[in-house]
Amino acid sequence: MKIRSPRYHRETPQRYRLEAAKTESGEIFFPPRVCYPGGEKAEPIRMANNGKVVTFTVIHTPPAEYSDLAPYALGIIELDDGARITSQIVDVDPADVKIGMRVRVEFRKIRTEGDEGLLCYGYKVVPE
Amino acid sequence: MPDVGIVGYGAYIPRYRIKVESIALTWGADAENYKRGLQLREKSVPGLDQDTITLSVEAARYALRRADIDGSRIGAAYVGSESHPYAVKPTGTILAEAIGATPECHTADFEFACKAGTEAMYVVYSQVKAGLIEYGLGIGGDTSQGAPGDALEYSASAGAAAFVFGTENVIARVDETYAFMTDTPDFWRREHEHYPQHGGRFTGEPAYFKHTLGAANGIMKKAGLTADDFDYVVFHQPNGKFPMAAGKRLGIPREKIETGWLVPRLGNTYSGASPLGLTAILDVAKPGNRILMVSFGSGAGSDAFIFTVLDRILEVQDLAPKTDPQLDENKIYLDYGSYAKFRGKILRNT
Repeated sequence: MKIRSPRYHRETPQRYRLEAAKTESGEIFFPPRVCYPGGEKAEPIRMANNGKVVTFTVIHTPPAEYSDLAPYALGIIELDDGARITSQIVDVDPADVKIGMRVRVEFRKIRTEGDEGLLCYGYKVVPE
Repeated sequence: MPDVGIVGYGAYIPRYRIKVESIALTWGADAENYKRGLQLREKSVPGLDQDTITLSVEAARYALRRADIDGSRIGAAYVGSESHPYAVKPTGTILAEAIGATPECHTADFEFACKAGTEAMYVVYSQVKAGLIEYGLGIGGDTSQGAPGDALEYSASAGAAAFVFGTENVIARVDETYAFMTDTPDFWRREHEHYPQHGGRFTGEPAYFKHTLGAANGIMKKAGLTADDFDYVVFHQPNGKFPMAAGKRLGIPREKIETGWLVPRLGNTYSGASPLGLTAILDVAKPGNRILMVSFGSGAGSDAFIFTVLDRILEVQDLAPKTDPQLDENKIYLDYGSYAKFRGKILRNT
């Protein structure tokens, strides 16, 4: 089977701890980049843990590794520091998800690489 | 010697529940008989994307919030569980990475049936007391499993509790510790088996009660205290009956146990059981209260702690979600089919 964990491992700081980069002019980049507009320098920051749903869709036909979760809501979340992330919205019936709904970030299992591979963790959001 | 004790605590309980009736209906069992015998109504169930690691991380984050420290100051993080997600690969490294404690952090995964959580607390406390680390995290968490149709299926549940130990801003000072254990074959699971075996009635007198009462009497003698000296008591709670029976035999009034007696609404969270009971007590405790905690793990043994609650407790109680609201609010009930799917009990081609 194809193991994708090396890439996943490199993304650990943003997936586990919501680490972003803040440039000298105050712009937040998530995930952090190799270089920034105008050659600005950036410092790692940890993003806010709470936010609101900007928009969302409900996935009924997901990729095979997410099939047990269907139907599930996938949304764009604006965190309280202004940065936006894409995340599953869980622990809620997708029919009850609303634009503007307050959510908080939780640590969850994102997918498993089959029965023998790695368990991949990261962030999802749940209703506040 | 400065006070050494708990400086922050956190509890995490999944939102999903299944009622005793739903399990009994599937297996043609008498629900009322189980509810009366086990003295529990429902149990928590982890979501499809939750396991011991995710529950432990959330509990640890709440504990750090109450301790008001950054994860990078944690010098040791130990997770006690009998449901570590990997057979080989530590729970502790993933947890430490998630809270930002790496790389200067010592981690280890503990296992001792339901006692692994207090073992983690015991060792972290010892390290802080010895001056080896400034702060440490001791965590008990489980997503425990009972074989389909077995009595354990009615109680085996999910949750985690985390405690930051330190010497600055202590909220509950450790006054005494004590451990009591013997080689007792009351409950076990062999390698590659999906579900544990247990000795039925043998799990009571020679296992739970011998060790729980042995540790409770031992620590009280060591500390020069009696049952009357405690405001709150929490025991391991594999069902509703055992902790209340242990209390009765020690002469402890029921109301001193009830605050940390979560099992009727939660089930048995194994390594998280007495630690989660302690979080519910700390949520309402007042400065000066004295707490007796006695865990139990099959195999078998008990760890005991005596805590005295200090003034700072009042400043931290509201800094993170409390335990009772997590138990009683926003519950999502599952039928047995969904529960079987959530717990991987349905046979499928891979």
